[in-house]
Amino acid sequence: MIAVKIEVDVLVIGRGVAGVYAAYLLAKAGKKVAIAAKGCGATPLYSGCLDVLAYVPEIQGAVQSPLAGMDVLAEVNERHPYVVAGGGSGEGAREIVEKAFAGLPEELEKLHVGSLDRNSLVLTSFGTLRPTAFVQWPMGPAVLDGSAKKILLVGIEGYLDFNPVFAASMASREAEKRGLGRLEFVPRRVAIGGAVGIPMLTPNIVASALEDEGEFKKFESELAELAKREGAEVLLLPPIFSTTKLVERIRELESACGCRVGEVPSPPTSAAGMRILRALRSVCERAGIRIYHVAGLEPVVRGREVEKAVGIRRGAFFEKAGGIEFEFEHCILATGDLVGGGVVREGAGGELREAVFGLPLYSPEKPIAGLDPFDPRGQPFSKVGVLVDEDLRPVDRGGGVVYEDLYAAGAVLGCYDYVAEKSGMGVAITTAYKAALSVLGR
Amino acid sequence: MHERFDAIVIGGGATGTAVARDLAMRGAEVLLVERDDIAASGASGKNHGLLHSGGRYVVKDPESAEECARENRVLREIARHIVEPVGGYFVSIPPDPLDYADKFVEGCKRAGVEFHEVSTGEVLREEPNLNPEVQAAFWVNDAAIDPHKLCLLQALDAARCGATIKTYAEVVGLLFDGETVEGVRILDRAKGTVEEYRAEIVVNAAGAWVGRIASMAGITIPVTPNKGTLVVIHRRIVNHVVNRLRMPSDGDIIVPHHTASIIGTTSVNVEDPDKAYPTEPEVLKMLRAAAEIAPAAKSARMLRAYAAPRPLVGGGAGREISRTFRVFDHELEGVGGFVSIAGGKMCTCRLMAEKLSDLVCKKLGLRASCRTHVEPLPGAEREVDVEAEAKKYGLYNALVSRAVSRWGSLVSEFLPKVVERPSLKSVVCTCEMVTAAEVEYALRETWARSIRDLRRRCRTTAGTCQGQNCSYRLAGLVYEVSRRPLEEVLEDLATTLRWRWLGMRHVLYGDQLRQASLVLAVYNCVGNFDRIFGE
Repeated sequence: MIAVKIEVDVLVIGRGVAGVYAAYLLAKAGKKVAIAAKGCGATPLYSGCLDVLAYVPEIQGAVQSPLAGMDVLAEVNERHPYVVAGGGSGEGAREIVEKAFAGLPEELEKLHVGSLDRNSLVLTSFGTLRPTAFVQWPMGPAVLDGSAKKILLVGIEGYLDFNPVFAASMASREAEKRGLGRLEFVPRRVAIGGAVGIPMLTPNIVASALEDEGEFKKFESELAELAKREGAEVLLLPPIFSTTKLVERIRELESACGCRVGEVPSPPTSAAGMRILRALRSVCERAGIRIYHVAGLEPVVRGREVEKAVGIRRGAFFEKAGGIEFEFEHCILATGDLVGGGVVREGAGGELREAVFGLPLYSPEKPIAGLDPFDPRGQPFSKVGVLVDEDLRPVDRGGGVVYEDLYAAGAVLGCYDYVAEKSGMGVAITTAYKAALSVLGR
Repeated sequence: MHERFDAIVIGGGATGTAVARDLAMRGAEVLLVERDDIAASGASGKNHGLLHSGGRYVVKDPESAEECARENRVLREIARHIVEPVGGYFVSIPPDPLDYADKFVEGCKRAGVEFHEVSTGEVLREEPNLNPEVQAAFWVNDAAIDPHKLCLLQALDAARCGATIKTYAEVVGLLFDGETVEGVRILDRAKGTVEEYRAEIVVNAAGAWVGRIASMAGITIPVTPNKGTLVVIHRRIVNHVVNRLRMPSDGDIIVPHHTASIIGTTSVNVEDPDKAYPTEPEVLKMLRAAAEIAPAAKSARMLRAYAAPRPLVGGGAGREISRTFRVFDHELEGVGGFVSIAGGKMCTCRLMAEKLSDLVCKKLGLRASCRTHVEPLPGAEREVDVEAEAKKYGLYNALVSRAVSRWGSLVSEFLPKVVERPSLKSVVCTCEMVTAAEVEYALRETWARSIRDLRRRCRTTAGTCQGQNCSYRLAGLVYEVSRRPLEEVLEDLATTLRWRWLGMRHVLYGDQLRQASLVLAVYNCVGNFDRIFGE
């Protein structure tokens, strides 16, 4: 039963960075846009590092400048989303990446610091150093170039995801190996009143404990004392600044400590994922884009066109209330990869499948996983995804367009490995931009 | 440490630790040497975790069945905290031959295996996931047991009785006085030094490696390393142990175990016990076999596959070899001071140790008799009131009850520490609910040196996420608590994740494929570890 009919110019499937950015560009160009999404996908797992391109696994090489790296990429992988979106050349790829980043909504633009011309080394919660183009600004102080010599790593008692003692040793080892010279990392821990002895301490719990003014002041004075006693140039904390209010107080901490204060990027759960979700929500609100949450989406196709899609809603109330029917001229698929749920493999020995339309996939060789999880060439299954033409319309194995009015953007695309390349968010932004251009016929 | 002992036991598996415990209890000065961690490399750790009722062997291998039935009753008492008395069913599913049921009944009666027939209606009520085509069913007294913990507790108990336990000590040679073995030369793998220890008697309990040790004395023992492959399913798809009612064959048992179900196993002779890995066809075979028993297995989430070599005595194809054990007194072959034990099953390790210790004590002139069947293992001494402990230490009931399921009353060794250091309440592993207090205890008091050793004690890295969320937290704890060099901890972290990966590799579909993607995202994308470990 259909309860609601939504008529739009463009339906975007997926509410991650690729989906929201494409929707934003189209709304800004005057199109009526709706987003259908199954959840938040992989976006909340975002570490805070906005990668563009740091490695080209095909040649085992590191690239100093993401933009300059596009030339190498075009030579070794013509089906890479950057290369495809750039019309097949390194120069085209550079151009589309630059334009895509220039068009970002201010919520995303202001959240990040960095450059497309240079990868910087950022210290992670593991104490490792990784190259990235941009980081969320609260993580700016974790970008190390060797100029700050004394870095204070401050953990929270009971918060196991950031072990300052281990991280400090690891960081010294890595800094020397990566040519930053001898840096001094000093590990310390502080206890936060409302967070002591909580068995599953998350950034949100730490943040809410710090909402208490007295607790915050105590935290601030402890950090200030540590920073001054050690003569630290930079003070780094785990990613705990998850609320808007707390993020704003980083500057206060800096003036109290007399040095730069920031967070290290970390695996989930982390404040970076919450901040980007908040930014994306704000983009949608400002552009008047509505997000419809569905449990599944059943497309209705006729010939080489997607006619409409029916959003399934689950739960006793919704089942009575019926589904949502979306009618649209164009559709952008931005459902993510295996983690996000855009690609699935059901059953032992089963085939990999695109989750909404059952689109043909770039299929990796078998076995789909190598023997070493740390192989810098990446894993075969990481490259699974949709192959597209230069307008980012999914194509079949012969190169023919599957549906004239369907486009794909972000991690659902195949033939690249965001883990090995450190390229995830850059591909999302660039292909979202390109997909929006294609819809607009530009 | 003494330079001279009454007995040196080679092997820290089920048998070796049982022998060390038995001899130490009888008053012998014992040294146990294990090349890896307790129950790390052989079949003692990597098995079904099934405390056999004996039912599986009543038709084919009555002697083994009788031993199992007897030891089942003993372990339920002395190791009650690590035994979950889930009970078991033998079910006949087409095309299992129905006449096997008669042989089964006869065999159970003969071997003293407790059983009763249940209607198909009842078994389906108790096991809703069971294949509805089930045509006959019997209840038996099967149970789940934590195999790593059994070995560890035997070693702990031996140590309490004065034994010295040396892990990461590999025997590289035997010491001789003429034709008599008088000690062992070991490589201390932690320090990198070679050391010599002497004893009246050297006991070879090296499991699948028993032949290799014996050959150091020029003796041949007819032991066949025989590989069993097992697959772990997320959560429990059965409430009881479910066995096929037929001659033992591949993939015909499902054991509910802690947070998982274990399907197994295969039986293939292998040349080299160090190279017993699972293969993809074996894994698919296990899954198909499990789906015959419980069709829900097809859509269940698989966590990993693993394999280990059993030390079977004698030759022949895997299933044809008896599961019973043999004691070898090499004095009969002209080599004094040296005895070996091989075969048997984890469930019968205490009985095996008793027989062997009788022989050793006779040689040592010790008169004390065996008490291993009446003395409780550490942690089985008293029941723990979970709610009271949880309240006392400000912990969730779930955290305490899971810790108790792993340690019994030994929780009193680590829970009280959270009073002075509340940060020890932090949960290191959310899949298995393990606190930092438990990890610290395992590191300080139970010979755990590495992240992998912790898995065998606390189940960390063994759960749904296969070490994704806890491995780096554990690396930090091992580094801080054990003060091991950074390079060693990094090597440990890499090896841990590599082993978890190899286990997951053959079951990459559904949510476990997403999990594997996330492992890469965490360690390689965020952590850049592909550029640290992979280059």
